[in-house]
Amino acid sequence: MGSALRNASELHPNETSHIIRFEDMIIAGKLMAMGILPHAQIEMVRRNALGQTLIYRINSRFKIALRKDEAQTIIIQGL
Amino acid sequence: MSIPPKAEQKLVILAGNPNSGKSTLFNQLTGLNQRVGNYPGVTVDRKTGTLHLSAEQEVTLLDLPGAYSMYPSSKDERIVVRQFLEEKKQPDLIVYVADVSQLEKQILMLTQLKDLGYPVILALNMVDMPGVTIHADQLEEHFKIPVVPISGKTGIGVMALKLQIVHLLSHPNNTEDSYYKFSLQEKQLTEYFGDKIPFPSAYGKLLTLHHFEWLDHLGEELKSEIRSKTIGERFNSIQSQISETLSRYSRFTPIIRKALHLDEGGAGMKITDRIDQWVMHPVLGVIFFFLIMLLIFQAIFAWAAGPMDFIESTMGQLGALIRGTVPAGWITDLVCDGLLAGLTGILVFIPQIAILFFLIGILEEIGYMARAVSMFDVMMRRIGLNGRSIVALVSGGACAIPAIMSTRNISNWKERLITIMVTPFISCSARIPVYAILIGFAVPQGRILGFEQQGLALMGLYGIGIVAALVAAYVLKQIIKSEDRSFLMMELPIYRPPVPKNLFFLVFEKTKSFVLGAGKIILIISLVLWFLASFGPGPSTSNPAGESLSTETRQRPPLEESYAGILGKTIEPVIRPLGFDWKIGIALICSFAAREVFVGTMATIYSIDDDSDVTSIRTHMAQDRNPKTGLLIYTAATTWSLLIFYVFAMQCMSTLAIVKRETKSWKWPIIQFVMMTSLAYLGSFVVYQLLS
Repeated sequence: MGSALRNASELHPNETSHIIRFEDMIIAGKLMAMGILPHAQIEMVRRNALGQTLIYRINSRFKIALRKDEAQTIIIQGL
Repeated sequence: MSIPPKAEQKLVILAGNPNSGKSTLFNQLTGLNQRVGNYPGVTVDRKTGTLHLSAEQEVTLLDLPGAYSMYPSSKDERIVVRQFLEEKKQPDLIVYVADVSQLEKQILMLTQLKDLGYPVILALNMVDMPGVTIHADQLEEHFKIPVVPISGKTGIGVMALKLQIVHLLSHPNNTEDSYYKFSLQEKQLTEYFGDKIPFPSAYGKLLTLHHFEWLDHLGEELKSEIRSKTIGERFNSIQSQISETLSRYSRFTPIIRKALHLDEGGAGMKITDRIDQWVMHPVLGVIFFFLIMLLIFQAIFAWAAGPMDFIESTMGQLGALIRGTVPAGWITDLVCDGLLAGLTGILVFIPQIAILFFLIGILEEIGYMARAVSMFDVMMRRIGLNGRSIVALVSGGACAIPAIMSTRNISNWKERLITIMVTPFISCSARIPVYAILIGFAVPQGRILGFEQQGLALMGLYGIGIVAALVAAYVLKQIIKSEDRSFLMMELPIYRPPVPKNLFFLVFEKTKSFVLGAGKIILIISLVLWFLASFGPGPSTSNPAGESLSTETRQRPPLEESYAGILGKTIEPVIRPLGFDWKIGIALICSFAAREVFVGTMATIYSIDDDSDVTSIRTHMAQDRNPKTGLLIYTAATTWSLLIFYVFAMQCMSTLAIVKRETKSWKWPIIQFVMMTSLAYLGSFVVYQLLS
């Protein structure tokens, strides 16, 4: 803790963190309806070959695929 | 009749998230008593069915498209909100379906629907999954609604659910109090409008304040009043939506965490992870995907061939039988060459459609499709397509009809439309006979670097079609405007075995919708084509008026004197710069029934009785000379020009019919026809002028 906040696209595969807040309100609305809320645990599962699609696991319960620009709006706890 | 008229029948709505197993339950509850229609303005399937509750009670069941909340972000998603706010026919009961293993994230919309003021039952689906323990009573107590554990797949609990439906229809459990506690501003605004907003519950009024701009049932006067009031009060819709969502979650999350116990890695999560390691691998995953696509291609291409031949030969025999028993005449011709041919043209697509949707259905059901879409999202999005478009493009290699029908699952309208527009560029199986008969005139036999020259040329033609599709997609992406923002944000569900019943209904439904939806157009066009090819104004048909309508034996004019022949000759000046003569003109016109008709037309033109005698057709074509110049007609230049024409041109009435059905207007098939045919003309023109 204490270090600068990061966004979810900066996670490394298999790294886990927690969501602090969302930058884009529209995306936030959609993510929240899908069960992705502030304080949720977020783990990066993998990136695709081009690094443009990112797969996350939320609360160890379900997986979701996000575009890189979508993931960048999710602010997570720093290192 | 004991069954009451439709207007009095009660309406039960099945609602829930995508992947909640809602459709499986719908199929379980309605069986064959289901119908698929469309919602106005969008091409989302509207599935309704009859639910028999007891000997004397049946209700209408509506399977609402899966949604996450009452705040839609695309036109298609708005259907769910419209169903409740706009429709005059209000549901008598809502059965909310939720996947028990994902309960925490599937309950948001339940609380919203309850706040709209409807009686609700919560159906906890997939309770038979290992590693799941649920205390339904705790949920009943908290939400104050009946909770029924079920399995849509095996039918466990479905009887109890029916009994609960019967009970709630006579004893509705809807309440006035809202699960969500309104903010002061939301309370003041909804109370200010009160009965001006024609929806009884406070939450319905609040949703109207959020969505009034696109709600069609509101008058302009009310809309402008809401507009000025909400702006004046600084009502921030998105902010209000987010705090509402957060407030709902904070109420039910602790309850669900207490009531639900999931074993570590249970409910299929562990197996899913293991499969995903391979299937979603950046390299192996792509190879795996293309192997599956190869299988699909092979299946439509090869497995459908047998049934298609069977349909064609059966219909041929039926025609022969009719000709044998009924006296010859124009009515017999109409029945055999027009009607039966048209009918064959419809039925012959059924094997391909059934096989494609069976396979796509499996991929969707087990949860693989979402993964494939996510893998190809970036690549496809750059050219205006969607991950799912790949399935359409690959299947287009066999036939554009099922391929275009498969785009129904692309939720972004623009991406779906572009996929529909470019798929027919991919060389389909109907082009193969044309390529096969022509390629010999353009490319001599022999080998280059060990490869068969003609084979390379054939590959080249396929390649040109693929490039054309991708380039056209990119160009259309720049042209077509879309108001919907594009998102991926896609859940990757747990792998599950497919439910055979669901596959059956999918295949059945798709086949039916093709036959009923596109069949009519195909039939009409084939009758027109038959008329053009069988009748002509010439002297050989100079029967006195009236007599031509008799069933007497009537001499059919040769093809070149028929209307089609005249049309072919009329367009000759237009197609001469492409190196085509009037005979090719006739073939192009007749090809509109289906591209492979080219071969049969050539057989007719050269008076070859057996149109499967390809060698003889080729020999005649090879010897054909221009009567004026005495030069060979099928030179390399003309042949390449014709081949290029067949690669690009929209010459398939069935494709246009299905595009009309899928886009719900004549606008797009017409644009597609003009776009493809102009490109074909231009391409052929350039090729001919360069080579001759």
